Amino acid sequence: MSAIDEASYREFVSVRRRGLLRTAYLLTGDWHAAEDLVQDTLTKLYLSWRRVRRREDAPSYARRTMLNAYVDSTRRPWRREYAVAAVPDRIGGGDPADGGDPDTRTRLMTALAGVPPKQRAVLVLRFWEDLSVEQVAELLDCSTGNVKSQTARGLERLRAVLGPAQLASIREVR
Amino acid sequence: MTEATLKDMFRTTLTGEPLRPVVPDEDVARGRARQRRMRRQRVAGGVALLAVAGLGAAVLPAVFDDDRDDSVAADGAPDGGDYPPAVGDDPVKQVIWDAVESALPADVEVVGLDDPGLQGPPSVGAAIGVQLERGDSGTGFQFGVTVEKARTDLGEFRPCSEPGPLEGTSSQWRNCSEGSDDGVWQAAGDLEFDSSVVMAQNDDAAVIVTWSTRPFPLPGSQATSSNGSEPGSLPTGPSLDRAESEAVRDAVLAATAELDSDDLTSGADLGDIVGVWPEVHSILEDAVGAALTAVDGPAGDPAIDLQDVEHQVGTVSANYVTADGVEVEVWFWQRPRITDTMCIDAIMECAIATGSQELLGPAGGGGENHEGGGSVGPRGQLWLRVTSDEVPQSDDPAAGLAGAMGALGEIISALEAQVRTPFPAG
Repeated sequence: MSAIDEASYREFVSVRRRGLLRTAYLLTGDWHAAEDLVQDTLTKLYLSWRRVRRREDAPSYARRTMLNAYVDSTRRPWRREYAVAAVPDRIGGGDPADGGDPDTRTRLMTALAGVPPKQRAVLVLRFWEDLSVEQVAELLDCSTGNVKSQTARGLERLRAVLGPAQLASIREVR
Repeated sequence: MTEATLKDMFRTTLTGEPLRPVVPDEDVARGRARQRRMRRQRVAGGVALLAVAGLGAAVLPAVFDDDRDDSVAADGAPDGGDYPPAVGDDPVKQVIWDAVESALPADVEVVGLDDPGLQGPPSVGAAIGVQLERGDSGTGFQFGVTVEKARTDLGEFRPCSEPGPLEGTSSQWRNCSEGSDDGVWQAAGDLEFDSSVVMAQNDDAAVIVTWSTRPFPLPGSQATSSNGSEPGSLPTGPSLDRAESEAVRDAVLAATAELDSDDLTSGADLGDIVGVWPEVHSILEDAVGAALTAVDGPAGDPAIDLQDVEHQVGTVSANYVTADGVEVEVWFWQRPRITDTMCIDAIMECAIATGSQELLGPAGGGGENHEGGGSVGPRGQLWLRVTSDEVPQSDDPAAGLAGAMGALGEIISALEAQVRTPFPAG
């Protein structure tokens, strides 16, 4: 890889790494696992950088690589399991408008931990990354109908854990 | 909860994000380290099965490296280090490769090989052959793209059906379709020996893309044979489907607009091939380990059959024998175009439209019979057979006549040095 390639790679890492890490955390529920996932993703990106850069699709390639690595890691017996710091006393009892609720993180991560990997990826991509159904379908190499059904099922799983009262308004809107 | 609320909840979960600065150099270092590991693991492999006949099979190394550390020429200009060795600093190949890369699926990579001694020079002419890996499958497959000047006889060109089944050979189309689409002539089909081809031609250039559909485990990988249950069975793995290869073909065809059509012609004067024959003779003697006496004609002189002076189509061949009765037969032949079929009846050998070969030699009886061949530039082919009536005593596959086949690569190099691009009448 040439020095020029590495310069553009460094620039990409500088701009995108933090975003990748946040998405990775929402996927894995663990900052260490997220860091591992991002490192693996960026290493693969480095190896493919010359071609990826020419196609100007580095963000998409990185996102796809990370998703594949994440889904793959969940199939391995030694995968890192998400462990909550403490089992919440109540599940599904918080105020839906209280995004700053200290329990929110625990409750949401507990809920996400119960969502199958692909559904979790769909939820994160759609509701955190704000990607369209079509974009998610392309990233996950599946149909738009599949993305919609995975979204619905994923939300249903969240609803089951977080409680129906606060989740009543969650629906397929896109 | 609304959509925004869910996003807020996501955001809240991130409040424990480690406050660690981004240090790109660390990711660069990890990438470099992974690259070095890959190179160590993939030292060999990439064999192109060129010919199979009875007891004989010959393979040639097809070794390529992808992300090499770039070297920079003295004038500061890139010297091709940003391209695989199969492309190098050849500007025509670089145009072709840029198009290939732009169209290959994102998860397809050139297999990197580490041993500089195995990195042969790029093939002659507007042709590139590389070994690719899809995803992290641990398997590789051959991929080749060749560009040549457009045919002027498309009205009569019927590669799917003519010359028809080649008697005595099995390397045929399993399926094939041909026709024009929006002014672009196209053909596509699957061949025996698990390979496929797609072609296209416009008014100026023709593009031929070939690829193997049965990848093999890469050295150092954990990939196993086909279903993991049958020892010795051929491996399987992802390669390319036809639509993906057609995308590459179309991208390359579009890129040929940047090229001078004269640069798409290659070939050798048969006289130059004859001129280098003493070197071929010497290489063969070293490989066999004995003096070779010409069966026909003066010692060392090959026979020439020039069928088309303008395009230098024809054959150069020779038969030799050692004092111990080892027979050596060597043929070089050159077709008008890579998309043409040319059969050599004397050895029942054909080079069909894709440039792959079919050999069907004698069974070999109770002795030893090794044969194989390879490409010499886009239009040329070499075929070599070494036989003996004696049954070999050694179990060492590199010993004896089999070892003599090791001369194949050296001979091809000697002949390929005679191939010129552009070729005046190519």
